[in-house]
Amino acid sequence: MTKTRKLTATAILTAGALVTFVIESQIPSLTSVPGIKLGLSNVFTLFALCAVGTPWAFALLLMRVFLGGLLTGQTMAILYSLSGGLLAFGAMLLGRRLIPEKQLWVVSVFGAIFHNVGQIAAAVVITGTTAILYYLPILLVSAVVTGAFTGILAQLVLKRLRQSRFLT
Amino acid sequence: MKTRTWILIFAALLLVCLAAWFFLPKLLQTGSEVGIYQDGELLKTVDLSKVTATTTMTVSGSAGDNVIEISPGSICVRSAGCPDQTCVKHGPLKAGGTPIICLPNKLVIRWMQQAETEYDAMTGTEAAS
Repeated sequence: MTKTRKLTATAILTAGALVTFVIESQIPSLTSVPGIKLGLSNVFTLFALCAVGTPWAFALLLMRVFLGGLLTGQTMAILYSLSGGLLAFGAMLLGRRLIPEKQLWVVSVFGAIFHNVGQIAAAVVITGTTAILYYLPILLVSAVVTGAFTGILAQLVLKRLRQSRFLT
Repeated sequence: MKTRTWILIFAALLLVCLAAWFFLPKLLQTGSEVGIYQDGELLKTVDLSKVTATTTMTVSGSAGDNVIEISPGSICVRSAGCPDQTCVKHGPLKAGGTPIICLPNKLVIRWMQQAETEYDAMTGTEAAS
């Protein structure tokens, strides 16, 4: 891929991630547990990480966190999002080195787990109470399930695009 | 690693986490005393078994007011000023249940634990008697 193609691809993927993030934030939470959601916008980060490149995926993540927080009007959520997002990105980066793309869902599960760990850590620091740690087990359960789903989605899209020679 | 190995690892993690989710709050709660915290500081403790009449308490924060309702044997957040209403949807604080948390206002309502109530007893009623 040329640099121009990469830039364009990242821009389109960022737009997609933002739209997904905003739509998802409008869906009422199914549970009374704070912080549980599908995290569909991570599909775009994961896709960019595999198909475009690490710095591009990182830029996508940062843009999604900041613009997503501004678009949904929850500026406080940017802190949680950023802390979770950075930790998740680190975990997925390491995961990509160790785990092949046909098991990308595993990388995604680790990303989701570390995303929730990062969010909880931010919440503990911001509120100054460790009582929030009670929610860690159920957030990890949700991370394994949602991470697997979003990971399978990214994995299938990548596989199909490579089969059709759209990606090399 | 094989896909099957990963599935087994994650399934084991799920089981451990579910068990922790169900049993951890039960193991740590000791009495009927509840602490209301904001910004990590203890605002008030209430012994729910000694409450006789329903009262409300308002806590203000950057995201508006939280109205806490304290009634005999039960405590819950009646209304909140923030858009997501997570603390209201939590409902009453259940025995052996998870704390009520309002992230925007940094408010936490939770059961007091063994060490904390002992400390209170030493500085309060026990020391006086």
